[in-house]
Amino acid sequence: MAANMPLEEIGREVRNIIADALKRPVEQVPLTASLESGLGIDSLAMIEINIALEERFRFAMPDMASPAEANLKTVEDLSRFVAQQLAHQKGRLV
Amino acid sequence: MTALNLELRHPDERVAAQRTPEEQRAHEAREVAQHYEHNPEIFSLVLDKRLAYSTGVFLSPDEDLETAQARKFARVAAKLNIQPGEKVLDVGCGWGSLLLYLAQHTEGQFHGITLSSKQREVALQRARDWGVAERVRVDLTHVEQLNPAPESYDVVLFSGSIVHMHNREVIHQLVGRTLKPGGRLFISDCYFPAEMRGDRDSSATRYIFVTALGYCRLLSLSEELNLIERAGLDLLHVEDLTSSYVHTLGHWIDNVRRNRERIEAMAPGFSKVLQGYMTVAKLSFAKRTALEYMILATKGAPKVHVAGWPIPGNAR
Repeated sequence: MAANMPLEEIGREVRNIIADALKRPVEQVPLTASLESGLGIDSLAMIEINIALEERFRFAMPDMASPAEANLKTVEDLSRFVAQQLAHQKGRLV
Repeated sequence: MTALNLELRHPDERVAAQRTPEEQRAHEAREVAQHYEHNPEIFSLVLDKRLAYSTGVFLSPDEDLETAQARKFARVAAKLNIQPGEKVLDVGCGWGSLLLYLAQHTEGQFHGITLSSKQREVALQRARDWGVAERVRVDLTHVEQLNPAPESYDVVLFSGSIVHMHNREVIHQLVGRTLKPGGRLFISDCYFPAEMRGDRDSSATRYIFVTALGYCRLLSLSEELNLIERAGLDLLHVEDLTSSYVHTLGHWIDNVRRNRERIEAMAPGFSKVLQGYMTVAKLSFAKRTALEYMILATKGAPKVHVAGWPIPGNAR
């Protein structure tokens, strides 16, 4: 159940998904990496990552054109945000 | 009249401007059709029941997609006021959503054209199913290739299609010639604000215009209106539907989410393309870095009287 997944595991999945989207090895995507300045995630990459997160965790991410719009600075921020959304939506798809 | 210098707003328009009209027509026929050649079953999971691939008209965000699309169809029908026997050309008729609605609700003669053979098949099948096949014809062709005879149609429609056409002055001159006196032009489509707003060279813009939809050219509204006037038509009515498109896209995106596994089973990767480009579009309309308008123009004396169209409150 994605809703009960530990934060550590969510973090691992988020790193994998970002690495996939950016076509980089996952080692280059630590939890501490900055999404925009460090990894260079632009509007389209953010949208693609959000869709991949939705596919993986079967929930709905809110619209955002950049990580900053949702106050997300690092990979860890995004992981915590996903965990919060999962708990809030209790695994509902839409 | 000298040709109008339309602004080239993103890199793919600059590439298109280097092609001959024939090369660009072939490019549009090939690249644009790809999106619409996907299994129609996929679009039936995402769009309303008539398969309108254009914005509905939402009076409030709480309305559902069917209500908003039904209002749009009824509104377009009222704007066009099609009389028995009048000839209607729907350029880029898709799966026949608007064409067949108008065929069912008027006694006109309907000719749709599309670049997708799958869309043509669906439109013709539905024309038979809905009992209007004897007044509906659908051909697989580009409008520049069709090159209809002067004064041969009473109404020309472009609903979510003119955006795929680069050589807009050619298209408008063709429409101007093709319409009979009293004829109407209807467009429902997407425009850029006249002043630069947002990043038009971004990867997100390229994704929606090229990767997802093949070829798109967004003019500013004033450029399109200018071309319509230069083709000898008079503007009757322009309506902003930008916020309605935000709601329409929200419903489409939710439908992609609900049907992700079924879409992926039919076309691996396509649910991501749909959700990706629809999200870019939704964010753009929400920020008004892209705008959506319905345009109505007439050749000579109008057949509808727009002064009587209702607006709310005391201004009526």
